[in-house]
Amino acid sequence: MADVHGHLVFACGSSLYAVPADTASEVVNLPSLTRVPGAPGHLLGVFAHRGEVLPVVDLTRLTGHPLDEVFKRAVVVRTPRGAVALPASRVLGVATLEGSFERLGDTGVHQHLRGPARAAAGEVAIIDTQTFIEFLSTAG
Amino acid sequence: MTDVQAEVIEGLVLCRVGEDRLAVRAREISSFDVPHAGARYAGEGFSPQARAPAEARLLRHHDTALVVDTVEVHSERLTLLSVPAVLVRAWGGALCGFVEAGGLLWPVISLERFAQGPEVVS
Amino acid sequence: MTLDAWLRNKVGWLLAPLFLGNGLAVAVAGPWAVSAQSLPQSALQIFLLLLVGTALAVQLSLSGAALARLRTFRGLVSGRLPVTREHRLAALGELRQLPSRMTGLSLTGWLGGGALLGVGMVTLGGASWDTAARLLVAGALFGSLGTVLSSLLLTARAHEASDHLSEGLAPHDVIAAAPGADWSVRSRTVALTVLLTVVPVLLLADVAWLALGRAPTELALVAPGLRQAAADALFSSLALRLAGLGLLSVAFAVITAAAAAQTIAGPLQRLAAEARRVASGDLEAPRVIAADGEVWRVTAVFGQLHERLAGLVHKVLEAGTHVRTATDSLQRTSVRSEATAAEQGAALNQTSATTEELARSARQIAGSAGAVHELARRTLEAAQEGQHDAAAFQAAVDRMKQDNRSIAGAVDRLQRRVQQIGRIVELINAVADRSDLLALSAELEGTRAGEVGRGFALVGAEMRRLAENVLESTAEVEELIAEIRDATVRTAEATERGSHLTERGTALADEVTSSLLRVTELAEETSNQVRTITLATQQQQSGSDQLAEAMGEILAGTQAELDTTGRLAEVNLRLVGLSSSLQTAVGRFTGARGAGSNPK
Repeated sequence: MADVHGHLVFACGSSLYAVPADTASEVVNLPSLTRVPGAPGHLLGVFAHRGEVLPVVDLTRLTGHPLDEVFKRAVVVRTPRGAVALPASRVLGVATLEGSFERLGDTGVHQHLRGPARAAAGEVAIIDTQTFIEFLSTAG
Repeated sequence: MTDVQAEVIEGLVLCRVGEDRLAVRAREISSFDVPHAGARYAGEGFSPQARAPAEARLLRHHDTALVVDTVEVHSERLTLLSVPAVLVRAWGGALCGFVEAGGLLWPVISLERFAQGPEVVS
Repeated sequence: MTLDAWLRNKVGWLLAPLFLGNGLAVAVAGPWAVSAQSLPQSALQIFLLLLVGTALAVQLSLSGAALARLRTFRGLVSGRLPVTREHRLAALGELRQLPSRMTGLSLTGWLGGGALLGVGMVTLGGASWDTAARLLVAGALFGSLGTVLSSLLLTARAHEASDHLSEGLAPHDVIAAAPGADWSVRSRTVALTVLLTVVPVLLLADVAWLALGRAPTELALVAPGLRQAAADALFSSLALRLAGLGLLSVAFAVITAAAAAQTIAGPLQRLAAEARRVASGDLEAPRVIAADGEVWRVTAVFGQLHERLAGLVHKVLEAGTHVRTATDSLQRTSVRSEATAAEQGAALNQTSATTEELARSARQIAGSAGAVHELARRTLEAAQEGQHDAAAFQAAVDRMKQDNRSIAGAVDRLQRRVQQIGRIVELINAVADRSDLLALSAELEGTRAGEVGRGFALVGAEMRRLAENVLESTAEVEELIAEIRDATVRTAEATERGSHLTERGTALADEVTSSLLRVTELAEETSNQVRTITLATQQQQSGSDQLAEAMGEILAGTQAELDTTGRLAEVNLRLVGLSSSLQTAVGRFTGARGAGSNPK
């Protein structure tokens, strides 16, 4: 499968993730977050950005490998179902990916991850942003 | 982005709950009172183990009551920012939106729904 | 036996001879009266009754008189009077006078009894006055015999009692209180012999005379043819009676002679026992043996002799003891004196040695003082040099202080500059970060625009790399700044410490300078003092030498004194030996105390 538009690759902890460049709206510096009552554990909080409230979703918690890292930056992902900010330890930039684009699992968040794809920095899990945000909206 | 006609709120009660914040529409509150046993503490929304401090306040509206640490009334007009899709179901859908006041972001809740607890889904 | 025990019931014992002697005389008088046949047969019974009665009356009277003369003695015997020296002496006097007193009373009693018997016979027995006269004469004759015997026996008992009473009393007291009767043994013996021979003869003659006077009358009543036979019978009867009376007289005479002998022999035996006791060395309790006549003179003199001898020996013993005590004390003193002298000698020896040591020390001090003087001079020089050095040191320290101050200023400026650089780097960082974000966004935008935006995306990526390079460089600059900051902080600390040290160095330099100044002063002072000491030591040295010499002389004198004390001790020792010999010699006499000092 050919990568037409390219992907924005970022590191979260020791893992590399990629989002399609057309759904990655921008990279921002994370300000201090506002916690929301009744929010699930992977939802660290929200912040206002250009008149919009963006929820911050911690991928390390979501995949079951939580880190105590204080993230400085986040990748803003926007789909018709909504927008979220994904905190990143480091943003590697836009890259054209090759390799497998198959689902990495059948349960939980893994069914919304595809790969393993190859980038210059190593193996990358591609986030299926459309279904991913839908999954977040339905998961407690 | 889709929410073009943004709602404007006049009269808001800004509440502190531990290190966190909440806001309730002023028209949803009939009176402030001292807390009584059985009234829900808003801190439970952030941490199930949270307990109200001694000098807490009670927000009352008919039979509905919610305990917060401190209250502050904000009378300026504020734009209500919509709830992100991933948070619509949070706390039984008690979240109405967010406002920016004093350089801080405040989650606005429905007092009645919040007091009913996180399980109720409308 | 104690005196109290001996005295018990002794009154009867004392007076018993009175009854015995006179009783014997009466017992002889009875047969005489019967054999004389001068009394009618009918009156014989009356006579015997009167004789017994009169004899009893006279005896009772004599006993009463004797008791009256023994008041003190009876008091002691009955326990009515305490046994004191005075009572014993009084009782002794009574006992000594009793025999002579009782002799006179006894004679009077016999005469009175004879007269009474005569009158009784005349009135009751129808006897003639001739008979009464004969009875009076007979009373006188028998009375003298009885009195002599009872007197002798009484004297013997009185002597015995006196000996008991006088035991433990001082002989001179006894002699003064109860002297013996002063008579001659020879005259008394002659008188006794005469009495014992003449009186029986007279009595026998009287019997014969009466018998022969009656014979013619009796023979005239007998037939002439029978007169010869009757005369023979009369003479035979007379001869038998005379023989019986003679035997009685002889027996009486023997008893009396024995009693008389006892009055002389008894005291002599006791005196011999006393003499043996003294001869054996027992001088305890000198006593007077009771006796009369020449024997008394002997026993009295012996008693006094004994007493004086005991006193003398006691005094000698006492003197001996005193001598012994004195010599002992003298010996102890002598020993102490010897010891003290020896100690003194030793102390002087030590002192002498010390003095010599002192003299040696003085010489050494004199030598040392010279050395000290030299040392002080060198110290002074060194201290003056030190002062110059200290001034140089202080100047160096001052320069160092100034350098330190300029370093501190430079470091301070450097710190300020570094802070400014830090702020600039922060700004560059922020710009670079922002540029990075912008570049990322541009890259994204370019990517999303597809082919059209490819160039834009490439520019964005290049911009990002630039921004990242800037960020890397500023990170390095930040590290360098941090290092510079650390270094400047350390330098600041070091200059601070250096500043402190130079301050301290300045202070020390000041102290050293002032100390050296003081040392200089002290060294000068020491030099002066040492000069004084040298002078004083020279004087002390000569004084010590003189002292050592004097000590030697004193030591010689003490040795002489010690020798003298030794000789004195030897003499004392000899004196102690002599005193011991004297005590041993006199100690042979036991109980030698002052006469009469230990009455029992």
